[in-house]
Amino acid sequence: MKKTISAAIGSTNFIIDEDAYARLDAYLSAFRAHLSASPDNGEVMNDLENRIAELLSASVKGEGRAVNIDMIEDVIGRIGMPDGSPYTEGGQQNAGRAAGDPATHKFYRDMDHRSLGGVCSGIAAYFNIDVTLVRVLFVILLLCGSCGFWIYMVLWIIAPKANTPTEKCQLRGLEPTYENLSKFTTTNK
Amino acid sequence: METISENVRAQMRKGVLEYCILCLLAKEDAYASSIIARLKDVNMIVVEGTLYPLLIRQKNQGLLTYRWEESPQGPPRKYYSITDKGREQLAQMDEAWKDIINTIEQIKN
Repeated sequence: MKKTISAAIGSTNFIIDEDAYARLDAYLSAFRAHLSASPDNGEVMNDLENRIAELLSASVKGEGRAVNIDMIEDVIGRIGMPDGSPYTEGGQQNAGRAAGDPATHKFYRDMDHRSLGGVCSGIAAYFNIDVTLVRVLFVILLLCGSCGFWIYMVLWIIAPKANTPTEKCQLRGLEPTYENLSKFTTTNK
Repeated sequence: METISENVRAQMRKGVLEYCILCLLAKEDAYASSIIARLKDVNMIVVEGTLYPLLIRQKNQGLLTYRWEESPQGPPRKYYSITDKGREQLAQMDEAWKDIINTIEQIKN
């Protein structure tokens, strides 16, 4: 017996096995990470998702069948990475998954709970402390001089946003398992 | 030895991939998926991932354009076509390609 979830890939809805979902999400993050920084990347990722939806529709064929991990592997094998190399497991994306390995813990700005730039909420999520406490500390720093202001601005500028569920897991130091990823999944676009 | 020559081939293919896309689209408009299928047939690409960033870049350079076309199954898909600017670019690439072939011939003989 396997748990399935419903996910929108491109503009199509799929029923997808949870292990297949986690695999696809990790692959998409890796693909995005391999793109050279450019404003076109959102568009590229959209096209990519639509193509994945097209391939999956063909393998699901009609209603009722869930997308399984074999179909995802097939898609990943066909599409590969932006530089033409195959997507290999055991890369950085999966480092957090092997048993005993510590999960990746990276600082991002938490845009889901932000009031301004997501810096305080990011710090709170990173250290797993109350966001209000962080905000109060920043306000105190602000009142004691411009130091707090500059710290905030620098973090705002250099820290990336946590966009994908994988990044939100990394912010909290969680392993990118299905349960963890699904906590941060509202829409799977 | 095998891997070295494979490497060189991969580099060469990469260099002419954009040229190939323009050549294909100069003949007829196409979905991304049919461009991919054509390029795979002739062993120009191994995986599809290379193509998406290229298509978007060429589109933003004004060489290609696309329209949304209904497909018999599933949601509408992008249907790519070449622009006038793309045709100009293609003509220049044709010249460059001939030059390269000539150069190689000259060096060999």
